[in-house]
Amino acid sequence: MDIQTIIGYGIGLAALIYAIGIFIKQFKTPEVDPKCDECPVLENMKTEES
Amino acid sequence: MKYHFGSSSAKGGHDGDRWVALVGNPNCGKTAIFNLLTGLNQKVSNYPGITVEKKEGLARTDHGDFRLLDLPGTYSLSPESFDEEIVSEQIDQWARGMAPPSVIISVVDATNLGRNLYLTSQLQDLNIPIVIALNMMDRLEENYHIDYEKLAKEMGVAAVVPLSAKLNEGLPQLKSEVIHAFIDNHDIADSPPWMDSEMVSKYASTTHDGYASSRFGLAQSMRDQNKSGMNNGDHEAVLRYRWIDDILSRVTRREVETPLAPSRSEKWDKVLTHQWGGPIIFVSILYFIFQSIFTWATVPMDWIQLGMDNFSTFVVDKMSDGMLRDILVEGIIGGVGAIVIFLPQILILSFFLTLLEDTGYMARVAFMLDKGMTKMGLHGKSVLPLMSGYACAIPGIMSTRNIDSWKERLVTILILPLMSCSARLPVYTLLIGAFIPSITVGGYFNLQGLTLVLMYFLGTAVALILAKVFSRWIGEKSSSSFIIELPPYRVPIPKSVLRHVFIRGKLFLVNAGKVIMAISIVLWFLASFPKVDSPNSEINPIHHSYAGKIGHAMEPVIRPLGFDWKIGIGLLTSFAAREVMVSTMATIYNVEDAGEETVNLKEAMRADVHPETGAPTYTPLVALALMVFYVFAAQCMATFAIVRQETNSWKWPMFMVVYMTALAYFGAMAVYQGGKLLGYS
Repeated sequence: MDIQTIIGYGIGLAALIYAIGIFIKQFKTPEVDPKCDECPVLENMKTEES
Repeated sequence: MKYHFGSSSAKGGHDGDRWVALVGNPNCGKTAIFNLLTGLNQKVSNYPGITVEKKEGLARTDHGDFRLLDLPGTYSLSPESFDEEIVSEQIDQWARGMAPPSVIISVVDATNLGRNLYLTSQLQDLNIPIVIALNMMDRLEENYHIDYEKLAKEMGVAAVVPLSAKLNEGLPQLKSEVIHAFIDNHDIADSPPWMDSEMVSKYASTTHDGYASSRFGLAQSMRDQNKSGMNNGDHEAVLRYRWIDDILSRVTRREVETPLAPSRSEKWDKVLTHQWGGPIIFVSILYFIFQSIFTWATVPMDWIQLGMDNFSTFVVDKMSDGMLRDILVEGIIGGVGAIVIFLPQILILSFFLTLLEDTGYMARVAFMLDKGMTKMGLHGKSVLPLMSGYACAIPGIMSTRNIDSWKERLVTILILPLMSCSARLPVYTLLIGAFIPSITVGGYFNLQGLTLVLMYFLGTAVALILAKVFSRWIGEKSSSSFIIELPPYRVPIPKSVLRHVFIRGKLFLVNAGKVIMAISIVLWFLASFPKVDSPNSEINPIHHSYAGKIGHAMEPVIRPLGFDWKIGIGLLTSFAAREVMVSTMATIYNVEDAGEETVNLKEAMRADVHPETGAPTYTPLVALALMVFYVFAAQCMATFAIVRQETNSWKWPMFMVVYMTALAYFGAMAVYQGGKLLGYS
């Protein structure tokens, strides 16, 4: 296997894991907080709760 | 969800954990002040009820930092909607000594002192230092004067700071007064100044024990009795307003008594909210927006396409032949590039929607459409969420929180995904650009623009009809009155508008760079493997790939809609997000072409022919059916998740997906089969 094929498979595997992770994440926490464009509210709330 | 800041002392925390709450009426500029104090970018707009959740940030000053909490707007502590309940419950907790703020910034609209100070007077009962932020000073009439020091003294607050969040004036003084309020001794009388001794003894007997401030307990006791109808004519509102008006008569002065002429906003309203003219103007504005999305974006889209082509050529020139190069050119550049092209359209749509909100026009639309909305089982407050749905369903669904009635809120949530969001725009414009001729009809209208407008109107019209159906079907008897404060027309702050547009564009690109890129790569593998050992020159190897097999397996189900296996794969992948349909088609064509440059998706789709018959695979009729499918389709994972969160059940999101998918399937079938019956191919 040449280097391009090895890297190609690596990228493919990473993309697959990422895509599956996104699907799972959607149903655990909402991805966006629509009333807050950029502020790290979700992270803050987690910190407060913990 | 509960917040626990600072100490649990009723008089606030010490230096290390001090925090401040921003409280005020809707649309008085709390969030704008919050953003200026913290440097964050929460959404602000000229529409009451934009903030529906509590938000926290850190304000930095030369004398130390403090944490700042932005609460949704409320007119009083007698809540009328879900977002007002958030504030009311939070303040009740503070009154019980549960992690109260060290200082409250009471944001007051200087142009409407009487009504805004009502809430301030209720906050005073908490016995927490209050700094009044007198916002919108730039809009105060020139001949109207306020004695700030006297107002602070008469109201019994720590300070009154005149400022303008719009012009970014007065913020340093506000910070300074907040810091002073932390260290100043603060104490108030045990009973409200607007209550006489007879009332105090009357309500003292029914006051709950749990309140840290006896004064709040007295006022709450009166509110409780008002609510239960046990009150003997002591109305909190009448007594408080009498007290506030009395103070204002001493601390404000008008140089020249001018006759009450209609304001500029009132003059505009006569035209823009006219019984007949208003709706016509509104529809014309929407038509203009959708038409301009199509026409204005053409040139920048061509530039991006050219940039993508050049980038693709560059990669091919610089890299040797191999799998990585194929993934880059066919998967990533081909797939993601096909989506990025639509950035200008997203920016134009976002720009216009922000303008409508920030000028104050959207509140008028809500007012105008309330009667019609009520007839359809909705509410005037449904208008803004529905309009937000044109950008993205998720913020729209969240903003239904300020609809008081659960039934009206649920109906709004269920129909909102039918409003064509910006993720559908790439699908519409790809198909329109490829299959609808750019000709002028009726002397004025460009057929491509008109088709786009029709797609938006189709989604909206069906949404309204279904609202009526769902409203009857859900059956629960609940209705609410609609009271909205019409904000004055304001010239939008360019920085704020540009920031919204920038953030919307950034979200679109980040999504393209993450989710769409990942799916494009996975799809490239599915479309490229397994490799065929002895390829048949007449059949492209992609037909034997995993993606090809999945697509062909779906074909019998979607064939009545005029769709082939490639569209089938697109329908599957676009469950992640609707625009993935476009990147999927691009990746498939790039793998199929296997050339050294990325294919032009529009041209590839136009040139696609059936391998046996030689007839075009995609025709204007198929394109129309596919667009209608996407008008109704529930293809959006994030919307499903947010509906589950907001309705707190699986039943309603499942119902939404089922009804929307059925509508999409049969709608597209009706268009395709109907078109064929009429002689179109």
